[in-house]
Amino acid sequence: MTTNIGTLLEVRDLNVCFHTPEGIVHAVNGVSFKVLDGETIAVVGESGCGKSVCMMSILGLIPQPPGEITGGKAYYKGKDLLGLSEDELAPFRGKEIALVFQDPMTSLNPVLTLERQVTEAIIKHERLDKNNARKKALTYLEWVGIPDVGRRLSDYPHQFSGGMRQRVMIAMMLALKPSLLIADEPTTALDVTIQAQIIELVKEMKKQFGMSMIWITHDLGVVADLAERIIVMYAGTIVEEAGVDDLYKRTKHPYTLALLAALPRVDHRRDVAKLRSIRGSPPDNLNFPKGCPFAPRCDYVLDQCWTSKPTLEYVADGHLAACWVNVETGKPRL
Amino acid sequence: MIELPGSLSAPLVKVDRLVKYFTITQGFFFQRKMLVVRAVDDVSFQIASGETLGLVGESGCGKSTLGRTMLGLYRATAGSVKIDGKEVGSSKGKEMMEIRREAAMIFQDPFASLNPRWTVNSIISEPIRVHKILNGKKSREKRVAELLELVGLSRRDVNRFPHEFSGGQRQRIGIARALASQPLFIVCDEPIASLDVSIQAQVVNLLEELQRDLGITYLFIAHDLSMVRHLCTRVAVMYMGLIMELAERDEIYENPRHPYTQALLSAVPIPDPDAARKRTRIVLKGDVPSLINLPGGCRFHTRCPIAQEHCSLIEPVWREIKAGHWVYCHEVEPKFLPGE
Amino acid sequence: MDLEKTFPEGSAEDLEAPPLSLSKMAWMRFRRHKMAMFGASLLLFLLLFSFAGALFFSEGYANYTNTDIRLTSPNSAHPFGTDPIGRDILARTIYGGQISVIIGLSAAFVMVFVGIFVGSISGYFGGWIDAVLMRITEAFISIPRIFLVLVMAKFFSNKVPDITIYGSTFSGSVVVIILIIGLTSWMSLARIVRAEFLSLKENEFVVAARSTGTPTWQIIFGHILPNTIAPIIVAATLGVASAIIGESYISFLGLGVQPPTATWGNMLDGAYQYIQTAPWLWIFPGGLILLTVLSINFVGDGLRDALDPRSRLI
Repeated sequence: MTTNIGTLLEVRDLNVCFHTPEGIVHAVNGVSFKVLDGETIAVVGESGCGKSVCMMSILGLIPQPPGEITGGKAYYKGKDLLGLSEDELAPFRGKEIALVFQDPMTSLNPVLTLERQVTEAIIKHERLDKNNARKKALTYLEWVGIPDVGRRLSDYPHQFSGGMRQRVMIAMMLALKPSLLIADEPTTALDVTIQAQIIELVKEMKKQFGMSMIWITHDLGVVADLAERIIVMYAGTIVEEAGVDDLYKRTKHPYTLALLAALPRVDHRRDVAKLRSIRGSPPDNLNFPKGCPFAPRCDYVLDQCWTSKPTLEYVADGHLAACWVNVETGKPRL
Repeated sequence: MIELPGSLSAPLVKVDRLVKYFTITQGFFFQRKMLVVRAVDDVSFQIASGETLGLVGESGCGKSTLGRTMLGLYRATAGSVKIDGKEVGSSKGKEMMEIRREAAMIFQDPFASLNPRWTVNSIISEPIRVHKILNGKKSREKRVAELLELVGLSRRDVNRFPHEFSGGQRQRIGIARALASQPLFIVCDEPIASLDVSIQAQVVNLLEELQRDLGITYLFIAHDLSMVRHLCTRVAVMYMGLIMELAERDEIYENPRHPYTQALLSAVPIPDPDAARKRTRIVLKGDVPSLINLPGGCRFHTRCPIAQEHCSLIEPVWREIKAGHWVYCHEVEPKFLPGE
Repeated sequence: MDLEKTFPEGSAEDLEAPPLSLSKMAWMRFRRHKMAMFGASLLLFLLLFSFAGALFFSEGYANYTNTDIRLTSPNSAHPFGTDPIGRDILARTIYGGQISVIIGLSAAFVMVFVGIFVGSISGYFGGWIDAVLMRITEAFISIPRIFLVLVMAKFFSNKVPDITIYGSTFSGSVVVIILIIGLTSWMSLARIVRAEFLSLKENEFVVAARSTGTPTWQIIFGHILPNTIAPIIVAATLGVASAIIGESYISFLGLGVQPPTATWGNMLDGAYQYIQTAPWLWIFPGGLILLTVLSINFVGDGLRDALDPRSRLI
């Protein structure tokens, strides 16, 4: 086990499954990736691809049973989080690695006022007294753009709109100052103009505080502006990983290509007779076929794709893909 | 490619000064307050036969309410809606049934919009039964099988239940149901919002094929501006119960004149890092105000980047600033190019 | 149109999970509930006792009085003993069981019918209809049941003739009891159905039916009602149990089914004076009531879990 200088989080060969009445659901199958200091990566995939389960299991947030981490390691600053007990994990959660969910109602306590929640977080992590903590809370809330802060401190979470609640969560992040922020679809439920506000806020926060970030989403539009590296997941595995420009302009995996082709553009005139859709249906996590999980739906499928599962390998500088085919030529990659 | 429709002199759908308010009572006994939610606050537009009008806006803007009021599912507070010449608000009996046959709806939630206790056959044949289009179980079943194949499902699925299908397939069942009465006009209320990206493309392609083959007119209610640009011929942008801008598709995306439209378009994510970096985002300040306490004057002025003093006092006028391009804003000057 | 290219998702048969109908899933869940299965078996046994047992004893025998052998404790000739006028208790409990079960089922039927009617109309239409129906419901709830029972017993007594179905004669008092119990226990089901309607009528499939033009009564009975089956079945099942208990205490008051027709309830009434001296008079009918009601309650619990709409998709 080597620790690279500058690597904040390294996940190796993570495997997570769930025991259900119908059988074993293989949610995450051999996922490995790294997050460097100060880096923002995006994990993109459709529902059921395992992106959320992967991140939640790093923080020990997957209930076991029915979940089970069947293998792998997650080194955070050199320490394997997967081997830790609940008590040992507690100091990492919040202070080191913070989690923002799609609906902040689940992370904000509905019966406590804003003031109490934010000041408590500050008191706990910055060890200030109550008055100073309150002043700090005001500055953080102002920074995230909550209007009329003084008055709104005594409001409860349900009195805020979705966008405001996400801002409050970000304010709590400022108080916690984690080294790694994991955001699971944080703007999916928000209106497009509010989403834009939150994204600008997060970019600002990154600039000022330099934290690393994992942004989980299904929206390839949102991350084009936000992430430095993008990981694309399908059927519990990583199918492509590249820097943001490489991923969009020099795509190497058929699934990513198909996803991009299925997206209409707001800034282009319509130039296709039909949107490219992906044939077939999403993979069944109960019964994985032999070979590449995307084979039934792939436009570039070759014989070998049905019998052996491709491994994630370097196909260009800083660009990984799990595919037997060179999508530019249609021939097998050697 | 969809061609632009003919003249609007005989539109299929005509909405004239439509208003829909909801009243909610708050408090008990002595502190009873009647609050008015002005969901749709005087909206007028027309839809020509064969076109797809996109209706976009953020949550709470009233677009869903507008769609449902147009079909008479809510009783309009004021104004009129005419579908194929028939007035929705005042029709009764046979005429109302005609409207119900000619206008159908596709819903957002593929889970909630199909009765979980009914088979696919019953669900799709309901309009056929209700409008007595075909009599006799056998002929109806045959028609249901045809409709299933039309939307890309197998006729073997006829006796299955909704829970046996995926979200995208259920949405297709909903489309088949909407087609069953051979409608002229379909209101699509965010039909793809709950679906995965790859499935969205399938459903949108299907809607277009059906329009080409059956000549259906759509009102496409959505918040995904990229998809609307792909699908629609004209687009209306709604905010807080009013239409802010209405224009032909490429015109509104390339030449948005209303500040809200401009902000909206600048906020839409673009799956292209270069384009995303080059673009400047217009970030609106503040939050969406409530539909109960609307700001005075132009209701957008609280968040508008170009608001002037008079904007908070006087309501703008809905006017045509260019052929076919309508705007609700004080600060936009009409621009009629020579020859128009 | 090229189906494969445009709509490539295939049919439901391609989905991995075998299609299970909703009732099959419910049955699977019911089977996992041990108490419910035990209750169901016990119930089956009790039903066999009452209905198959009639093959061994005729009704005439059950009503045959022989004062010579009055009040004998259980022995080989009369396994449950004899009552104060010499009738065989075993035979009487068999026939009494039939009546009690019939009363239970019929009263539950009345209760469900009225409850559904009031609840669905109230829940769907709202407004003044709802207000009026709910006030009536509340009135029925607020008036003490004993009072209602007494009033109705007085009102119906001697007005209902004996009826003959399938060769057996039921005294008019049986019908009276059924009506009394049914008409005094529909209220909670009405409220449950109303609550279900209030929430279901906002569902999109109801809006879809309205936009199709489906007539209102079809929406109420064809669309919404089938989705409220779960709580109705549970309420009906438990209603049978409470009807059986209801019959027993009404008969205990002497207002119920009149002898010589035996019911478990009026057998208890007859045992009142002999509680300590002839315990077999009340142990057997009382025990049977206990076992029946207990097993129905277990089954009801199992049904409630099995039909829980929240876990519909396992």
